[in-house]
Amino acid sequence: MRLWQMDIGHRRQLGRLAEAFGPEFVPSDIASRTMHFRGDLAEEWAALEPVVADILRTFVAGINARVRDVRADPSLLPPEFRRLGVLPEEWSADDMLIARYQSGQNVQSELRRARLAAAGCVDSDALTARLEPAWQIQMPDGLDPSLLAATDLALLERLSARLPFEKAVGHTGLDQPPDDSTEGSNAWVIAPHLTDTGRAILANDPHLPFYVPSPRFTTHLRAPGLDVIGNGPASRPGFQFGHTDRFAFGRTDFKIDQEDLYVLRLNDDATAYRTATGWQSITRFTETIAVRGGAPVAAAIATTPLGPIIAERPGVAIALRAASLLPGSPVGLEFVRLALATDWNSYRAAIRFAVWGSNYMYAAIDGNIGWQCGGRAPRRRHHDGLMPVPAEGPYDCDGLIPIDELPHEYNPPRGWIASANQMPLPADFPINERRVSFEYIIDDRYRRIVAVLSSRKQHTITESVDLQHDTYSMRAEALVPLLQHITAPELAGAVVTLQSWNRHVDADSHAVSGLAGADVTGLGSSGDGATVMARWWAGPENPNTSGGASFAAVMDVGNWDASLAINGPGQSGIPGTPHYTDQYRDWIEGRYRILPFSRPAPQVANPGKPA
Amino acid sequence: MMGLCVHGLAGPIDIAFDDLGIPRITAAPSPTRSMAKAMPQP
Repeated sequence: MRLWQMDIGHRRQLGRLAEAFGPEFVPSDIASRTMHFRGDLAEEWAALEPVVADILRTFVAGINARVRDVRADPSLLPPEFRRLGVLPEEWSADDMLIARYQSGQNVQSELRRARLAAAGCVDSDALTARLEPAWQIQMPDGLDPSLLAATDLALLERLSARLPFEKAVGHTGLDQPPDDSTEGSNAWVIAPHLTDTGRAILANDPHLPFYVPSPRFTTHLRAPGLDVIGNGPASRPGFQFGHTDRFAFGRTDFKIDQEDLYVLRLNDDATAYRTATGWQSITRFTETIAVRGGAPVAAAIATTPLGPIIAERPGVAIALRAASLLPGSPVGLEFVRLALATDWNSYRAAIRFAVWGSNYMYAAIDGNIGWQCGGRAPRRRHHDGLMPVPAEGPYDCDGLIPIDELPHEYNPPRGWIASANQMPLPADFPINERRVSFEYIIDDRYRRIVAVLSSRKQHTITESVDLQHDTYSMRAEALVPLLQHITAPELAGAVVTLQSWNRHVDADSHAVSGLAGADVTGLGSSGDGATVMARWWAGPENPNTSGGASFAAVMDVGNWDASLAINGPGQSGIPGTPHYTDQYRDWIEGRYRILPFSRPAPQVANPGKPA
Repeated sequence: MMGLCVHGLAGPIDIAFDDLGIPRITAAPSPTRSMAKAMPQP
């Protein structure tokens, strides 16, 4: 059902698009390969628990079994392969450990500040980028910001090169949202004493660009010691959202600053860079990229103990240190482990393996609720992560901050916990000792969720579904009162319209249409990038809604068969099949489906059939 | 098959797709699938 989606994602991560689609994808392939993990793979495998290594290998074996099936019988191929004249490739288990970098962190703002510093006005950054908790940017000793160039992140931008069919339709969601303040997720858990049923509730709606097939695939697995329904990317084992027979789980992004740019001063022949203790060698090698319809290309790649070199010019190189490329940091393995947990302690134990930053939510049938921040958080003693740093300075990270030192709650007296990518550090968090991050997206969604949750003494499943579709604009609440200062007669009508507006960003709102100059979205969807019901546009050239929550769930913890979910537009990745779009209409109109969990006793069939 | 592929199960299994196309997968006992016992406790 998802083979095309999985194969194309795999090709992109491995840097093998050009061999399928031609020479224009060589730059993207070079970028992908530059960002591969280049450490000792044998050590990476040895560091995994045997059960996790076994699951990764079996997962890949299962994919390869299907790949061999469809290659042997092309009538089984999903239509995209036939249309583009491409065949799916078998995977290697090593691929799961090599291709693990994901862009989208704060290196863009590091570069922006360096450029401002070079112009002598780094303080002006505060006009557009709020730091949380309040913080004064620290200029690293020895940094010459003029050594950084506006194009230093061009390689990372090439990671998301569009495929031929993506260019044809303009936008498919495989690229990033136009405004990174909009992408995120919502999640909350409510304790049993605050619900009408006396059972806990876990609600979660993660936000991503919209595309078909949907970014997540739902599965129910039952085996000895394991009973879990949930979903996540089809190309990864494990579950990001769902529930076992004992607890519900979910997540939102926790914006840990996991990346740092290093400025390298090179020697004359560019074989080494200067450090505080002498010259450090640069590892240089070439990889051959096969090209459909063209000659193979030799890609020159350079890497250092700090990380890959992403930009280079005479005398200077820029290296990117990323948490996911550190030894012992393969990504996503906590999603395998979460489903194996049995209680809060074993759930937290699973989170210790997280690399990407997440707020992990928990609600169990015993009535306990919890939240734990997780992910690799570099401990920076000598810099704050907000500026590039010189490689010859004392700016190497000093280990990682354990999750015990990151925010967490268990059964808080208020009876609920909410997360919407806001700055989650409590007021007494020792930020100077634990410089986790200073950059978070706006907290409008979080403040609205808190306002609604704290306004009720009793909560229902239906109210959580409604809150996931809440369009009240905290931004409008702050801005509309300021309109009273507008005195221009020609704007009087607009001011009156907005002052009488109910502050809800609804598709049929006259006030919103007036603001936008058009329908809110081409699909008629309500919401915007700052409402709980998150929706965003591709941009002015394309008025269609292009991102938001395509999956959402509200779980009735313990009475699992009353849990609700939607995974728009459907489960299947095969155009024309019933499950390709059978959840589309419900998704657009805000209706969920029951997500049954109970099943008859297992009847094991086809014994011995290989994966 | 895809459910197997996605989640690393192998061996004797039963798969039934529900009315939304969600695979409901049941696997028989095996060392791999008894993995909950191998979960480390803090």
